Amino acid sequence: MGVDFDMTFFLVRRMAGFAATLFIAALVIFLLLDLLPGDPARFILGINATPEAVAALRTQMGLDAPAHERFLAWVGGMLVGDFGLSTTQRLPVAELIAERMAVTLPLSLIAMVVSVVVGLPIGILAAMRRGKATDTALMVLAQTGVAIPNFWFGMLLTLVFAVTLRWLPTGGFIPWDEDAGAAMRGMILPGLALALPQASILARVMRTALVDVTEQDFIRTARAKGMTKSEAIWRHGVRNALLPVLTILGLQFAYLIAGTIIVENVFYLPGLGRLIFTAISERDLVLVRGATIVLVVVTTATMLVVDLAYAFVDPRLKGREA
Amino acid sequence: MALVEIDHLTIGFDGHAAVSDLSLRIARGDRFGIIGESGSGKSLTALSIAGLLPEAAQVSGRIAFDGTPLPDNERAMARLRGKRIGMVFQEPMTALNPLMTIGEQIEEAINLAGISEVMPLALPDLLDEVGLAPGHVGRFPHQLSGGQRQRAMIAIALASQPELMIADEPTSALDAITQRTVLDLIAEICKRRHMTLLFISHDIRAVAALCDRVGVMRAGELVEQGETGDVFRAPQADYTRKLLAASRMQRRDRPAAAARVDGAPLLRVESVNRVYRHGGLWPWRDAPVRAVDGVTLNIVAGECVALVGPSGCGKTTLARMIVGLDDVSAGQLVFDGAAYRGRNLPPLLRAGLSLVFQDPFSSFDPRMTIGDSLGEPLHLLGRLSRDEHDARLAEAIEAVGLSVTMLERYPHEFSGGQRQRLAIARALVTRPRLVVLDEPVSALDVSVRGDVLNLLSRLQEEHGLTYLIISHDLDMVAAMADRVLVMEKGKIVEEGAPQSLFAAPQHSLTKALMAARLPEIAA
Repeated sequence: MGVDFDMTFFLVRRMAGFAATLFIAALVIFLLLDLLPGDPARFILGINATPEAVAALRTQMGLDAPAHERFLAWVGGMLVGDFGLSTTQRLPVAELIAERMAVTLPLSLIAMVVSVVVGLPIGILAAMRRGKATDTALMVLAQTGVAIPNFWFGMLLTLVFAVTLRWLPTGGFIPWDEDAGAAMRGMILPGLALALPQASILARVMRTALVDVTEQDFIRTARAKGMTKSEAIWRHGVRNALLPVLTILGLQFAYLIAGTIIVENVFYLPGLGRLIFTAISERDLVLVRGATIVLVVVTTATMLVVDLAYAFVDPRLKGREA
Repeated sequence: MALVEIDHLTIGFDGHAAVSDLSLRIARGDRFGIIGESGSGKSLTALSIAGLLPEAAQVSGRIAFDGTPLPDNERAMARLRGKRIGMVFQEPMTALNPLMTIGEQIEEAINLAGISEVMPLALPDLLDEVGLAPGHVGRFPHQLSGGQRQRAMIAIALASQPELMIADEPTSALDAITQRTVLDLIAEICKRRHMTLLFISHDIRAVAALCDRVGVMRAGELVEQGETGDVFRAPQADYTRKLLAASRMQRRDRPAAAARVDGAPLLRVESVNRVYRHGGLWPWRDAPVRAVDGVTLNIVAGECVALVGPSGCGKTTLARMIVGLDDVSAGQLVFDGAAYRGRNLPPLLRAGLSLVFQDPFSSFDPRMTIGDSLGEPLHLLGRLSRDEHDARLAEAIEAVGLSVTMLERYPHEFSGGQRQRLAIARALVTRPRLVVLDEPVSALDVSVRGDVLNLLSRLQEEHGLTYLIISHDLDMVAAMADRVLVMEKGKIVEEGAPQSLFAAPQHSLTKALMAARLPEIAA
């Protein structure tokens, strides 16, 4: 019954929790949308449709069946990749979402990587130079980064790198299978625009966490062993300070997946945010339901990854009943 | 030439001197003890030798190690302490990195020492020297007991085969038995390695047992120093005499105590169990923990009963159930004729029971005035008029020897001793009959412990209080208690009047507790 056993036990528990969360979320989403006033069949056919036509469409869409059967059919369909047909576009929802994910997922990943690569070192540097001019300058910079709206920063980037320097496209998206290089180039500016506030937040969280850790006794122990202060912070502080940073990272990724709509609009990107926005305004409930459940899956999976990362970094969590 | 020479050391923060004009010599092979209370500057003095003072400190004076002034360069200073000075700190839980195994942490110290001329110490030898098993290498700090963590800390300090070991209150976070074994370990290692020791403590008896030279610090000044025997036999400074007097606890005079014990019990604890189960999918995987296991005891009105035992023996769990903060798993409690199981203790009955916590620094809400904190328990009595409320607060705070004007102040404005008085006042405000005191003086400086204990005795006489004292300090217990219960692994294993119990302990735990007592300093 060693560490490995504890780790397996921990994994099994977390996976069970993951599945339970998804099921409850699916149930809540289904009930909420089912309870909404308004008949999708009537909405599709317009106000002038005859009651017979509406009834026929209802049967065709499966709206006559009892709620629990419709729920099971919906969940069962999703398990085999069938999210239903979009009521407005008459296309499979799975296909629509997958198409948009091909934009949103790489965009979010780029933004994450940039914010980690830029934000964490700035936070670490500021913490090590605490109270000195470097620290003040970096934190003013981070504060500015949080305050600047990302769409404005996106426009600024377009002005400099696309309009004036002509290094990168101003916007639009060329599908990956047509020209992967062009697709990638189209992601750079929106990725940077999204990364700026995230990097600023990460820098501030990292600095605060590291400053807190630096006050801890074990940093003094490390110095007593013969390290200088910065060696002690680097070798013993950073890993301890990463714990709160992990939580923020998870939240940021979940936010990026759904929250990129403004930047998508600035750069004319066909991302998930715009799809959901359109679906809501057109009352495409099948699409809204499908997209929402996908967001739930992404968010829950991110939290699962954060939990696993925690267990990996912090031995105190392994085997603890949480 | 002395190994450590300190001349006219002054350490200040924002213009206030925390250490002023301190000079001392520690010769090679000496075991030098510095005694002082919290805030006396003893830890700062120790840190300054290792170059570990906070950055905000303004330092003047000269410190030389082995004839050479301490280097100004940070890296050179770091390497010097890494190779030649070992340090052990007070709280081993926070002094070790929670994310690394103790093996990795000791290994790191060995590597940093980078000894070339001497054979580097192997990890197994170090573990063996400090009394840890080879299996402990892969454990993380949270998987070890307090004593084992401090042993790991000592192993880290020894890894570079240092010439000087600085131990700053190395045992004050440990329970009595562990305290003694760690002190003995340090003494033994110093003797074997001919290592110089700088031992910082507020415990005058620990210093007397371990050190051959001693310095007494007060408010940043070294008021006296010399051979341990000379200083304690004929102390020159008034302050040293005061500390010596405070270390010898006199049994309080309570002629009426014996007569009271015949009365009807105020509190009955009847076959109480407290079992903690681990949650989770497989409840059968871990055996449930029996924190309290079939405890039966009676406390008569007016009695002072002490519950002693090592940390983790269940004494605090028992106290929490008695005051209604936790529920019994089986059995019942009867207070003043009314039975309860713990948290179902009714408010009016709860007003008759109070608890005083160990640490007066963390048991007050820093953002509430003392008056608000003291007034909180009064809600148990139902609605009181404004005058009645204020009169209760005044009565409580005056009873502990403080003034009514202090009710407007905040906790940080008070010293440790004053805060513990305030904690006692908070316990008294509902006019309880039974007060449970959980280590009431162990967080306090030696010189104020006596005052707080005298206060408790006086309050008991004046208000006819009944006390249940939880402690591992046998000297305090011997001075205060009418009856002592010894607890081990959730069970009461021995019981008796302190004089007879300590004179002829029967149970192995009581014997071990007696053996762990440090010898009193002869007058």
